[in-house]
Amino acid sequence: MTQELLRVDDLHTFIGDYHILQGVNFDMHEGGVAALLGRNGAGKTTTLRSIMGLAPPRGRIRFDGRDIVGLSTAAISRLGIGYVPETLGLFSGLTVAETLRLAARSRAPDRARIDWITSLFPALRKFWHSRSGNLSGGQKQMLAIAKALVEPKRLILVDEPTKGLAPSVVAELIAALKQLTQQSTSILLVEQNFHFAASLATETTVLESGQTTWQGMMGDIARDEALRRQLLGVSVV
Amino acid sequence: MRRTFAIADVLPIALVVAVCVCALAFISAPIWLNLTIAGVSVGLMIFLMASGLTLIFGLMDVLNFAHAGLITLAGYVTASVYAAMPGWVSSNDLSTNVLIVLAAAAASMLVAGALGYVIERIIVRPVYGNHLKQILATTGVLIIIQQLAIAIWGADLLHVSQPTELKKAVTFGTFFVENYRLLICAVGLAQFVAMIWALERSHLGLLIRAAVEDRESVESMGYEVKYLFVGVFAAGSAMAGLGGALWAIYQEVIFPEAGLQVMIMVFSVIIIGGLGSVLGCFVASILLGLIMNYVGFLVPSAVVACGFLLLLFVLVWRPHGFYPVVRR
Amino acid sequence: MKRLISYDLPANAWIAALVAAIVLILAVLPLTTPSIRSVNMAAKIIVFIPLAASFILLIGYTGIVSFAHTVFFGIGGYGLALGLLNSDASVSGMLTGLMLGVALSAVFGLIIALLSLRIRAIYFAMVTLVAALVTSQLASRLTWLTGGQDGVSFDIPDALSPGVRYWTVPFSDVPVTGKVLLYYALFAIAALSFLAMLRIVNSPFGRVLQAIRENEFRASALGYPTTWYKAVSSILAAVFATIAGGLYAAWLGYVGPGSTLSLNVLTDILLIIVIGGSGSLYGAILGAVVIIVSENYLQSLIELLIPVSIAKSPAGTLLSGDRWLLWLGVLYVVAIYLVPEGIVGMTRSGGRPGDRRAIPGPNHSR
Repeated sequence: MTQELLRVDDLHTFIGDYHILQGVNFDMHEGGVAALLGRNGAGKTTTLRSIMGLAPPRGRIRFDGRDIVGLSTAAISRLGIGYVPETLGLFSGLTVAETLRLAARSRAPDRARIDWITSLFPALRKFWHSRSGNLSGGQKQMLAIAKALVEPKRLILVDEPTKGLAPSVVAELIAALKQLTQQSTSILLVEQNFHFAASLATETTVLESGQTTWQGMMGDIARDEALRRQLLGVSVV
Repeated sequence: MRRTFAIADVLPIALVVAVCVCALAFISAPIWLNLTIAGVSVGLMIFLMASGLTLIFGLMDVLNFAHAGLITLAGYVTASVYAAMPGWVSSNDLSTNVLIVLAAAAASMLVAGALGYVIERIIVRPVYGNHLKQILATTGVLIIIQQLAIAIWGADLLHVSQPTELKKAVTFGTFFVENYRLLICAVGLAQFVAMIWALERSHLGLLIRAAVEDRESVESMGYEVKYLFVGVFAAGSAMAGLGGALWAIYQEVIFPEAGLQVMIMVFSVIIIGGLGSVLGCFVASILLGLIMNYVGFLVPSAVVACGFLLLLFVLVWRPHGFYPVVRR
Repeated sequence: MKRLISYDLPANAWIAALVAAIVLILAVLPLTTPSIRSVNMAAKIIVFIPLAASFILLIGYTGIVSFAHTVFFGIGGYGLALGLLNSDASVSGMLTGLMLGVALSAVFGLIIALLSLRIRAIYFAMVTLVAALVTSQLASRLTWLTGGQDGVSFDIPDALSPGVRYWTVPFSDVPVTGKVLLYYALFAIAALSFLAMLRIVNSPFGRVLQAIRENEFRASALGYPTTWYKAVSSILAAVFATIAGGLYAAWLGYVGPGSTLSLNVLTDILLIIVIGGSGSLYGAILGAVVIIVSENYLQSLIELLIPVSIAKSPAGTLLSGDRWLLWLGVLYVVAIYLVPEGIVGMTRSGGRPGDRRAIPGPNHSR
């Protein structure tokens, strides 16, 4: 439980001429849920993209004791990191079945694993042969997470999963993600919805203007309203 | 790349049928039948040359102007294969004749495919996403390929005749069709079916369709898209090689600007079909082949312009071609 | 002087000096050398400068990628030729022919602009290339009008023909014939065209064109009628290319598909703007000199550098002088990647914002 899974050290990322990340540091433990919090534009999404190798970073990222900076996105994924971007990264022309088959990187995916995933998200079973472009917002989100999980992963990076979802769907999502952590998959979560983050995460990193400004336990920040206000601004309810 | 059929998807095919029927009003039936069969074979010939280009564009959003050079090069490789096995062309044995054509096609595919691999690695990879640079750079490659061809084979016209038995025609009364045209039809249809199957049914096709829509997402799933890209680029180039070899034999001649001349037809059909759509390219090729044959019979001097006029007509009707490929 | 070039000096003093030297050499060349080859080369440079500049006006300032530019060049050439043929080689016939050509080109330029608005940029590039190829084939086949593959040879008005001798330059003993007069007519018209284009791109109108190239949506959101701007710039580019075509035909006394419409002309234009740089009209001057001098002397240079024994061997065939175009092609491709802003851009630091990227960046117009 306390073994270190991911350590990000002095991360700097440029997009074009813009210096987006200017020193991000944090670490998270095996089997945990960590939340990246911060205002819009603080660099949360870019941090996830840097870890995935989609935005080439400078600095050190150690995953499971291995330096992954400079590896291709595909290689990073094969080490056991799944990514659910804010844009979901679905293929509107492919059906649910095709999407999962593709994500499994196999013509005949592991049945038991597919069954487990569809037990997490029953809606997917129901729309098995629908094109993903025709799914509802919540179903799309579930498919996107499922896609990242078909291959067993040590860690999944999830970017704002609750955006635009109805409260009942959010509750379903919390339940599913909690189940995930029991299967020893760690989650790094970027979230604007503080309550959602607080109900899942144990560790928290707060970013501001591309830098880490605070790292600690979720409980501390959830209990201390003054601290929360200071770190995240008044917009957080 | 789609499963549901709407009226809009049937219209282009209806247009092809309508053109055939209209032509029948102007041309006597026996001649019409011969022209139609010839038109379909020319159409399949065009499809063989154009399909690789539209495949590459569909996946990578890259327009390879050097495609013309690959077609030319294939013609020259064919001439060399012919020179290496002179007896096979003049032989009176059908299977030997077919073999030499297939050998020339295979050699051309190999050369064009290998060159396509090099072009992707060196020329295209740094400029993904920048159309203007792609166009300028691949035009440069076209110049280089043409000059290399001249350096190796000379600037003069070379003859690449159709093998003896393939020149002969099958006849039924007034209806006749040359064996070589039948061969082209067989190869063209086979390639079309293979491409559609690969894209619609295979795991690779799934991957290609996904990568067209969202490259990053496919990479995040653990696939090295750059290998996929270079593979498809080489495959599309090899198709240019196949088309170029069969075209040179069809025309029975090869010269440095041969590939450029067919670019009028090739560009026309891939635009008409909808850039990136294999089905569209197929339908447009048949349509253009038919129209060229009918017009060539009725008003021979108008053949040059008819492809372009068809192109303008379709662009006004459907600015994105018959089957627009939706992305992002 | 500064007003003449619309206060648009090349950004770098070396480039400015180079441009000045080129202009000076072109201005005095026919008076100092009797070499027909040099003078022909200079004339071709003079013609290709406004031609390439008009292409830069289109591609570099408006971001319209059209390969149909040779069509306008051809229209100018054929217009002038047919005007002369049908008027017993009179100056008025020549001008009438050219003006009719200009009018026709303006109409085509408008059509091209309207088409570019309707379809995606990548389609547009292909359609215009098809149009250029088709026009070239048509010109080779409509023998009754264009003389077909052989083209049209015609007589130039007497006053401009080589047979008329006006004067002899005292210190070089070079005779000043009608042909020399024609050279200076070319020089004057080309210079005027170039200065006019320089004026256009530096006017408020030109600024809007650059804005459209950078971000058409934003330019239209600012209230500029971008459609109108694109149409006008396309027409202007067409008109200047047509004039250049007329000049070239007049100099050669001949027009044919090979000299005006063929892909070689298009390749020349592309080579010029890539090597010279498409971010500034001065790129046309430097590019035209480099490319056309190379066309004339690269072969001799290679032959000078590579011993015959190597060039004649099978392995050395790529190094023989006949392969000069191959090496120019290689140079061109290398230039696209290593010097994307051409010679003009090489030394330009900062400069005007619109000139930062000679070749428009990622194309998101789909």
